[in-house]
Amino acid sequence: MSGPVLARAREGLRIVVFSALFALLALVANTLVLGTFVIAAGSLHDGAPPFSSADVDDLVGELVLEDGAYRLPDAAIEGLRSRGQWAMLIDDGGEVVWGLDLPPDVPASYTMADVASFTRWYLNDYPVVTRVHGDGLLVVGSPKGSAWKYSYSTDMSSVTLSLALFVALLLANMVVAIMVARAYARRSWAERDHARREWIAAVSHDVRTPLTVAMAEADTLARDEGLGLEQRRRADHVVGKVSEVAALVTDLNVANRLSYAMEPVEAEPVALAPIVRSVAAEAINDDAGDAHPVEVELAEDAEELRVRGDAALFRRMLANLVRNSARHNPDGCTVRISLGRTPRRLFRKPRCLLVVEDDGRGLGADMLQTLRRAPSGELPEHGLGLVIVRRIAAACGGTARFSDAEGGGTRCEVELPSA
Amino acid sequence: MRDAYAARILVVEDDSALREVIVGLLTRDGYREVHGAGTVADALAAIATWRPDVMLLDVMLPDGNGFDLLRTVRQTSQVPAIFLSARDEDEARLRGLGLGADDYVTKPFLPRELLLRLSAVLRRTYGAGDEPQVVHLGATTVDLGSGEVGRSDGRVEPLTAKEHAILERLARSRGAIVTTDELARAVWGDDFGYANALMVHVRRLREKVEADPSDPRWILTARGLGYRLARGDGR
Repeated sequence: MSGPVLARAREGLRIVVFSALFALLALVANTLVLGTFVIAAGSLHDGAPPFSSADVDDLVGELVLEDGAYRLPDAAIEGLRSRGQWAMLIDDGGEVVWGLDLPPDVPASYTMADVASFTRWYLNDYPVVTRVHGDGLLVVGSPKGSAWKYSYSTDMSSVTLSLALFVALLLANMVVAIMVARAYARRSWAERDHARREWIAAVSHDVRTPLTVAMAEADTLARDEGLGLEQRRRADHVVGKVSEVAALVTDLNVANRLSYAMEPVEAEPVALAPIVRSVAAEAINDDAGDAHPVEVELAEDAEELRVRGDAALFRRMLANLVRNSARHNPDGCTVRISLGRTPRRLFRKPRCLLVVEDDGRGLGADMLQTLRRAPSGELPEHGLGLVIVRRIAAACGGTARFSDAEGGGTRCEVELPSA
Repeated sequence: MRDAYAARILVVEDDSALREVIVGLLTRDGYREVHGAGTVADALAAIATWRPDVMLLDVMLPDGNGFDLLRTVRQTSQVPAIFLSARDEDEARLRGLGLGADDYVTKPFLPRELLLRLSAVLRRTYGAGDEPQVVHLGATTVDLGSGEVGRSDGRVEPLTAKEHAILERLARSRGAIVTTDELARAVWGDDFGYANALMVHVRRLREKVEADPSDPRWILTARGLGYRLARGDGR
């Protein structure tokens, strides 16, 4: 059986692995798509204009000198015109010796500087492609603004650097993917916790109404003077058992509230001494057979002790401890509650120390073992009341330790940070 | 209202079995005018026509909730209300709403607990009920109405206001320990820092009601907790 904490850790790990893989795949896919596009669309440096099927290299072979004039096959001319392109041949002296559809703003002669310039950039804003022809330089121009043409060169170290950039991008993608996945998972956890919490609250609500009927009816029988003593005793027994179920439901509710800490524990400074007095007085008042006397010992400064938390929770914690002693010792025991401060230690502020001890038969090794284990998300099958003591202490930033008392009974030390 | 048992009580609870049980136990206890309602609509109709003196309100109702119901009622009437709730969280919610409900009982409850709270609310609101007007402490009697102690030797001594408040609080829970905090609340309305003053007042009270104030037989000390007024049988 795995606890919710472990399940969450496992789910968290799944999210990280999934996100990492997703980021890696996304980056690889993105790079592949971009790379393919760039390669398919044309060279950055030179070559065919983008999306052009014209093979300038073919033109070089097709343009021949016949009877003193240069001729290009009709098919090639058609191809150029269909794309709105023009072409010219410049001889070694820089003069245009042949031209096709030359725009008027294209000069008729060129210096070496002109040639060097338009080879790299543009010719009067026309993107041009050049090829060496047997008689000079073949230039094919495309309409203005139809192609992007810049020569690009980079340092070799930048290439290495871009590899590092790739890794950095991958990591960044991973982080983003993990954050998104986590936020999503958190929401679904919160929803699930909320649903579970609401469900437990609804069940305990529904259980309590019939319990009230059972308790009221049994109590009425127990007080019915017309019934025999034995019947009344049995009815009273039912009342006692119903009370136990009711306490269990309350414990379940408290555990529910604490384990899915949806609402933060109300943190206001609470005086512990009145709670100790009140719980002890209630226990004595309810103790029909005087079998479980409660003794209270308050340190001199106990009245000033305040802890941060919810008064109702502290009351429940203390009531659970006292009730546990009484329930485990039906033949009777004395319960001692003491309240004071922990001894002053170096580098540590003294905390409130609440000790509940009885001289009964003790919890037994198994139960102590359960109570000593680190708090987990699981609830035990038995002893919910004492586990809740520990949970409440933990929720208020303190600890509850169970041990055997010196005389053989049970001892619980609750340490809580002073407010 | 001199007779608490004449109070008109409206029980608003949607679970019919529980409603019948509550109506039944109130009737058996002697309340003559008890009326049940299962929904907010029924309750509002009953409130308008029947004008109850006190309401017992379930929080969750099929057509709304008890908090909203009380808020509606409070616009026109100050009728006291005791909430019957099946959720621990409701108490915090109730405090947050500031509805000024008169009491709050968590299900399941013992019949006597509900009856005690009901009579306390009736007493607080209408001054009616079974307040022990005269407390018998052996041969000594204390009349809480006049605030006078009648000693066995015929002497009559008046109680101060604080002694009266202490004795009244102890008599209300006779036989049970009342903590110093609760006593301070009853006397001063606050429960912090009155421990010594309380001790002084209790000592004076003992001098008036006990035969031997240094060995009290009636106002007993529960060490570290508070005080207890012994029952007539000396318990």
